[in-house]
Amino acid sequence: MGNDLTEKDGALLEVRNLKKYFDTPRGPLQAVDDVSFSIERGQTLGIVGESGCGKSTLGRTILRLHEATSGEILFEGENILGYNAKRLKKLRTEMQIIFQDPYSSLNPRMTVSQAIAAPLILQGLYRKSDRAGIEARVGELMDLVGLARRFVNSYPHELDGGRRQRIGIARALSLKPKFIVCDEPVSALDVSIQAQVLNLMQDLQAELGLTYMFITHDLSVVKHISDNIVVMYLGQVVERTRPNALFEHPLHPYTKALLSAIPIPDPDVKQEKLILKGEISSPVNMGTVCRFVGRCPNCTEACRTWEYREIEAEPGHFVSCRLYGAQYPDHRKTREEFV
Amino acid sequence: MNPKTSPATSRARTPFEQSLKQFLKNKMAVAGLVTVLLLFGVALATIVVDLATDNAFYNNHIIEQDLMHRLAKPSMKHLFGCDEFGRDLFLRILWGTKYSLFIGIGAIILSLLLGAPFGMIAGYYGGRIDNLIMRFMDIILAVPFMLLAMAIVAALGTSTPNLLIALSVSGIARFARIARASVMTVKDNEFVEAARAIGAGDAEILLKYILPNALSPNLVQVSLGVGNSILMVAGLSYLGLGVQPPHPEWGTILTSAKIYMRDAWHISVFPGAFLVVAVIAFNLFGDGLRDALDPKLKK
Amino acid sequence: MSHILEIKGLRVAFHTDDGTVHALNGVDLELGDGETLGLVGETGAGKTTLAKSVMRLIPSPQGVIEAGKILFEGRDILRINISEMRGIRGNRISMIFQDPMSALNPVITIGDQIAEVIRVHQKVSQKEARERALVMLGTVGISADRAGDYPHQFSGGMKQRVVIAIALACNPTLLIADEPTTALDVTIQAQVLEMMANLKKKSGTATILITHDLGIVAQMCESVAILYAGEIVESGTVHDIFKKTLHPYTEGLLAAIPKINENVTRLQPIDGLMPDPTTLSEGCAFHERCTYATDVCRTKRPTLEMAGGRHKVRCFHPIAKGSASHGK
Repeated sequence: MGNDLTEKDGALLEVRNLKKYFDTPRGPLQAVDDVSFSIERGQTLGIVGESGCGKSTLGRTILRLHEATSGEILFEGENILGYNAKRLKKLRTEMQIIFQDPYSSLNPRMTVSQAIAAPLILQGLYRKSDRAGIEARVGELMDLVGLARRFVNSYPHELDGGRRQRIGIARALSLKPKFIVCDEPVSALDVSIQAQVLNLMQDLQAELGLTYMFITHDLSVVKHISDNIVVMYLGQVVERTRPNALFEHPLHPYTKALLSAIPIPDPDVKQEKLILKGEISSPVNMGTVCRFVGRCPNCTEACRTWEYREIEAEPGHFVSCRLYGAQYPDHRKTREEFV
Repeated sequence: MNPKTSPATSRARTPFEQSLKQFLKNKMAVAGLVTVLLLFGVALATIVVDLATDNAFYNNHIIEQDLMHRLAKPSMKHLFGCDEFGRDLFLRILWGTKYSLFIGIGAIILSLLLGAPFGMIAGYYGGRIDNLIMRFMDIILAVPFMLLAMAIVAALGTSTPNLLIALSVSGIARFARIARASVMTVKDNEFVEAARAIGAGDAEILLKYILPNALSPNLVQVSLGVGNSILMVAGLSYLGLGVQPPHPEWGTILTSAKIYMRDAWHISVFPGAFLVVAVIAFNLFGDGLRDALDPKLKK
Repeated sequence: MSHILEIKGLRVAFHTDDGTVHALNGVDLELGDGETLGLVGETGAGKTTLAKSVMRLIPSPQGVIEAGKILFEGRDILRINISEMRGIRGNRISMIFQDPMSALNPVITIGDQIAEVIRVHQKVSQKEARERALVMLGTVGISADRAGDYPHQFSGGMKQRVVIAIALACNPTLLIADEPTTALDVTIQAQVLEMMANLKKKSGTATILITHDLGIVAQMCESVAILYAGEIVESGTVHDIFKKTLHPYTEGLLAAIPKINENVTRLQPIDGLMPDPTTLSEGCAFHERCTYATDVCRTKRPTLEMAGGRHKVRCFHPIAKGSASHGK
């Protein structure tokens, strides 16, 4: 995702300085704070972080399910924040979302067929009276996501999590979108079903040329499915780069802690655990400084006043940490002074 | 959180069928329902008779006085005895059913139809609209139910439409509250967001996604409120502000009953008993409905 | 090694209107003194039912323990009376539930909740109980001045620490932890697991750690039991399970998880779903999803057989050492 290429060719989606703040009695909740990245057509961007990092809010803001506070969201070059209601409705045929919870993301009173057909009717692609046409299209979509046709009149509560999630995917695909925000689509599923659904999503991407923004807290899931990864903490992007670079030499102290915290399913591998002190707080009234201050094992006094910004520490590897600041041209050398 | 759903089995299918099954298991609720249906049957039968005989039966047996049998005790000829005008009490009570039932239910339905939409809009939009609507409802709720009804009847007169208005006003606020709360619970579900993401507008979301899922608390309130409503009708009639004599509304019968309580216990006891049975039946039905629709009790 | 817990042939069923759910179909399990056993299974396998059976918290009348023995320190706790069992719960055997949000009473301070369990089982004064509660708080890394706070004032990770403090307050011999970190963030999970490992070192409490996360099992447990459709299909030391995998289901699970320390382009899922617990099929419970299944697997049920050391497997065709991986 080298910056040098994206500006020219037109990435499918480009996010610039996006902010989403919520008003709370204690001050503004800076859920998404000055986030920028872009995604090329046909690629997958993984967004990783824990509670309160803003990844879900980010996904929804990009889809305009939340209204952004400031910034730009460029879809195929056009800023969608300026769209009126009519244009926005049309946009829904190009940008879709798959939700995390297979239990609450489906209307309990709609059958599988009704749920998948709803977008088709709403967007006027099929008339409600065109039963044959709708049935055919719904059947097509069910086949595409591997959902047996015999479930066409079932209700969500009769099906297990994996099948429900397939309904959600079919629904998202029904309008033939180009871009799909996947908000923790497999987190609520059992391990063996997770693998089924992840493989399905990869296959669909290849077959339909989809572009994904894959949001998850599980770094191991995002590793093999992403072309680029963004790590977030309390509303800010702390690191972004390609998966290999991220996993082989993570730069941000938070990323390192996150990686070391994942238990490896091999009893012979003894993990070096970087246990963080303290709790994950909430990004309320935090200003523009580094939000990892206080929990960071490498934190210094100067960090508390450092103006938060992104640094390209290595080509294509961006990190927002004072340790990699411009005043340290060869970051590898000077890092040893602090570690 | 993670209900153990067995893979694609179709036992009870639609949510409606599931609730029905649950309801039928509750013996008390079913008893309530049966009683309610019986009462409806009686009310309808009396209406049919009146229509068929062009009110002749009504005039002869309900209104026509027969002072020979004044205050007669219950006997084979007069099952519940006679009132102070010699009219058969049993028939009077049967003919009184329709007032309690239809005015009682009518008032509640009116409250629902007027109050719920406001509550839904308040719950869905939140913010200032919510504030505006709910503070207005608070004002209504601040006035005691009965006094408000009495004041309205006193001002407008005692016709049936006025009675309905008087009884429904307070109910509007209660239904607005419940509708608002149920909308707010459903609104946060992801499937509502999903609807927005596929391009659904506010009206579509409210009517097709939120309403069907927010219906239950409102339905329960209807069935529980009917009991209270029936008592209200009787209460107003008892005070002379409701159905006027000689029409045999249960409360109206009770007005005169109090004077003769010592000599003619039957005039108070029987209408009173019917009132009690009707209210309990609706309450049992309402309880059963709530239990059947409560998702937490579903297993 | 002496076994602190032995489960033999446990069968538990639930009678519902939609049919009888056969939750556990003959579970055999052993836990050594001071050992941590990882109980692995997916949704519907019966993990929580198993945990609750040991605590005798199965709801009746729907839930019935149809057969089997649970020997705790040599005594069959399924046969003792209820008041004796109450004396054991929270005291000799403790349980941690999955969701810390709902495990704590919202209207009682956390200090009081810890003190209560001490007072009930150890018959000490309120003052003494409170003092011990403060000590427990320190052990789980919460400062004593928070003893007067209510659960809602704590984050998820800290609530789980309180739950652990309550569970360990009376120094139980056996701890059952039902997915104790599933609801927590990864870095918080690491904190809590670290704390649990330290506590275990100090107190030597035997633990059954119920989880679906094989990573946690590999890092925290000495022995493992894999639960599938109400039966143990494989059990043994953590090395046996991960390095000398015998059962196709275990093999499938290991192939299906994305591993951070490996480069994988495509995961290997296990096709199909766990069988419907209301209909017990004949034959092996896993045969429909198993790529190695043969005729015998469809008609006869395998039994749990020894396979060297503590390694046991329930399969007619256990995977031979060094054989090809999960085929297509």
